[in-house]
Amino acid sequence: MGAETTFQNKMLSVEVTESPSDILVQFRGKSVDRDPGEFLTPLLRDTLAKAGARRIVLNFMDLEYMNSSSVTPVIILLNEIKAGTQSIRLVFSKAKKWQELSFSALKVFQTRDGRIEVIGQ
Amino acid sequence: MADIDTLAMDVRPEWDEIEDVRSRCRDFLENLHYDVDVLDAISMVSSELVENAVKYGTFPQTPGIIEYRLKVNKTDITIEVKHPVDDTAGKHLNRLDEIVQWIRGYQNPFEVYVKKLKEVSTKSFADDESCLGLVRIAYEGQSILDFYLDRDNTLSVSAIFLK
Repeated sequence: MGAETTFQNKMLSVEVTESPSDILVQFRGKSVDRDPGEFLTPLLRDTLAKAGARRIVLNFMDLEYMNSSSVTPVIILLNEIKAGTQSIRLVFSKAKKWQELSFSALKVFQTRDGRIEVIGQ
Repeated sequence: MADIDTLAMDVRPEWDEIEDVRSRCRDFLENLHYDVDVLDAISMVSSELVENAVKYGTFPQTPGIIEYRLKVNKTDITIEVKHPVDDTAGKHLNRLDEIVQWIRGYQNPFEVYVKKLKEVSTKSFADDESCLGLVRIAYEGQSILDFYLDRDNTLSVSAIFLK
């Protein structure tokens, strides 16, 4: 396991762990800001820039709640990656119905070549 | 359980108050022995409605008040959020009407949600008018949206969750 950095924004904690093959972005707590993009967008953009050929893994399994404004930066990121060549995997918890509903809808962004995956565990 | 159980809150129109609404809504429903999926759905619906009230309400008096009511009936759970608006709210009201009618045009809320996700994914990060919250109420919250504006310029937005 490589370098690990934790970013905190009020009730939301985001832990970024780098390894040779992946950058894991682990979300914990609640994302309830009026403008969550202020915190999430630079973080996600920076992760995208650092990843290069490595796969980005966004793990939401331990996220308790996010408001709809928090969904926006994530799906904009997915759209950007779809237009490019990088890879990303979103992981959500199938045990939490809200996550099952919310994140399984994001499968619409999945690509046939597997570059973009949305997986329930 | 009574025929109707009600949670009533007068909420200050401040962003930090929203988490308290979510939390109290969850506690209320947990005390009525609803499962975690219902707690998650209703607290999300409550949060999204109050967020919109804070964003788009106008509060000429200080302190302003957002009225929040959660009613548990035999067949459904209704959340209603009321707040004042003024003449500058025309654009927001039109958008609200548009979205509610658009959602009603689809039998399957999942389709609406996916369409809205695709639309939002192409917008700029600064776009505050995505209305994703309302669509999320319909889909993830499994609720039917409605609204009305009374003569005193009080906007009431409600969501009905059928049990």
